[in-house]
Amino acid sequence: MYVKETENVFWVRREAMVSDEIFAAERSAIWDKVWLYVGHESEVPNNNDFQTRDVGNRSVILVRDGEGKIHVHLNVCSHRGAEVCRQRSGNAAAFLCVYHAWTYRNDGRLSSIPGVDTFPPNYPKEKMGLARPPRVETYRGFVFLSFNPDVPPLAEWLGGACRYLDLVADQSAVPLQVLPGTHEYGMKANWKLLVENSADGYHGMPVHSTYFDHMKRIGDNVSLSTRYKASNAYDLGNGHAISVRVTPMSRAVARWSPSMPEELKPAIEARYAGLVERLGAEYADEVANTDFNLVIFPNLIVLNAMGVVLRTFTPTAPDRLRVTSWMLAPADLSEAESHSMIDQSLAFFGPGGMATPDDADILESVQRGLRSWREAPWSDISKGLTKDQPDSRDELQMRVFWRRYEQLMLAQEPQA
Amino acid sequence: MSAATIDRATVEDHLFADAQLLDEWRLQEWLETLTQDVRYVIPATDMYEATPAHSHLAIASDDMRMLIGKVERLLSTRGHCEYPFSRTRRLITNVRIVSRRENEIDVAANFIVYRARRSGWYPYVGRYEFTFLVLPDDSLKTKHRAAILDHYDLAENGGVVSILL
Repeated sequence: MYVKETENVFWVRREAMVSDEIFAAERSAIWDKVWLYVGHESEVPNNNDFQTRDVGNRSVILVRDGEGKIHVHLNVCSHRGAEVCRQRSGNAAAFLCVYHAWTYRNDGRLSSIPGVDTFPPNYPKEKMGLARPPRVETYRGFVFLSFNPDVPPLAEWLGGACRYLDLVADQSAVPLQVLPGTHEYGMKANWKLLVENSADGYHGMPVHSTYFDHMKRIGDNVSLSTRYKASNAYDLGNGHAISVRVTPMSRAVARWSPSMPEELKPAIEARYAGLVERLGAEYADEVANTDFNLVIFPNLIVLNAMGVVLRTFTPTAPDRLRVTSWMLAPADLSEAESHSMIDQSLAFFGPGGMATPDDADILESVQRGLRSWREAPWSDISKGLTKDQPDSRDELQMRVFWRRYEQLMLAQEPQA
Repeated sequence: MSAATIDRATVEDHLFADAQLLDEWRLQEWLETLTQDVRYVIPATDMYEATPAHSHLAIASDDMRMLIGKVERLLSTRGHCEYPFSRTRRLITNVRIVSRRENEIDVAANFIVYRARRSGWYPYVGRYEFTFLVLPDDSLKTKHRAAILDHYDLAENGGVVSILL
């Protein structure tokens, strides 16, 4: 049991953040059962472009082959197991394993084995291509994989989250692209603490007041208590949850605010007019003005506010995680528009921002606090528990995650 | 002296004084050493080679407005990651004047910045690219400061760059 509800209190078992056994159980119960985010199609824009990264504790290659088709390969040589690609990114028609020089085409087929004539007769070379995750699917440019051959189709799995990925993808008539430059950092904290933190509106003022001070100083009064128009949290199904709000913060698409350069105002207003023309007034308003923190179970966070930030993370130990995050933006933003958007986003997000370092510090502090899990075994996430419609400063988002976590973890345990 | 004749020892003295201001958390004084049009950059760890364009995601890409915000935050008691203040020690080496213009010089240097917190040591290793404005009294104002980290990523390094590099 990982969660319990007693007399209007929702409890989470703290041992789940510190135990090596639970961490090991998560590998098969969670990470090997779900869809996991790999990357965005725009990260491999040209034929033969590739990216390597760790997904679900495996080294994988995201690659666009010579015909433009996207593949995800496991980065492991069929021969003796070395990684066949050891660069972070690049452009290559073939991957050459440096160990014994087996060579694979970027569609995964094995193309050459040095000394093949000394292998047994009828050696099944055609079966020795790069292994693949059993499932790879894409939704609106977002590429996911699953190590579970029986996982439901991606769009079905994403369920209610699709609508919010649509709001992102519909920002622009031209494709969105991941900007060059990646935030790669880490925390000495359990991965589930970052899930909780990533859609937690309750901590905003206590933790990030220095950011709000800065925004006020530069012209945007983003005081959360007075300027909210709509601020709700929703259960999107399958463990996905979202906190949604309308804020006076700036957005390159398409909401000018006083903290942005005055000379950008016409371009941003024109961008809004373009949305209205393309999408109709109602949906344009939703696309341009809905700010949200979306949690796609278990580890993709889409932060849509001053810009679109994609954040994913991989645990390496019960008290360690690696974080990777990118910004996603319409490919046709002008230099001035993207400069302003990045500037606004960097004020808050990333290892050098005014907010993310404090989140990291607090989560590490929580991790140290949770060493007392035997004496103080439960955390509380009850805020808004009995409300019909919890808001973004309640704790519904975390309860949705933890209920799904509980379901998947218990599904694996032998029934008594 | 002028931009044409200023020597390395003078530049080194300036960098040592700059490091002292930051190590002693005299951040408001440090702001006064910058030009109004300053740019302060820490490139992303996967864009290691060059100063990033404004359309690239960096770790920091700050103008004076942002630096004022960061300094006020760092000096408040609510910048949780740096309160109580980290102890820092900056070692600045391999200082070279790489080019000279009418009233500006470009300077390269290497650095190790050690940051100590209750939870341990966090070193930042890299190189600097500076552009200094050389004033008539031979004092220097920072117009461009890029701290280019050698770290492959920041996952094992405390994760954040919460101090000024």
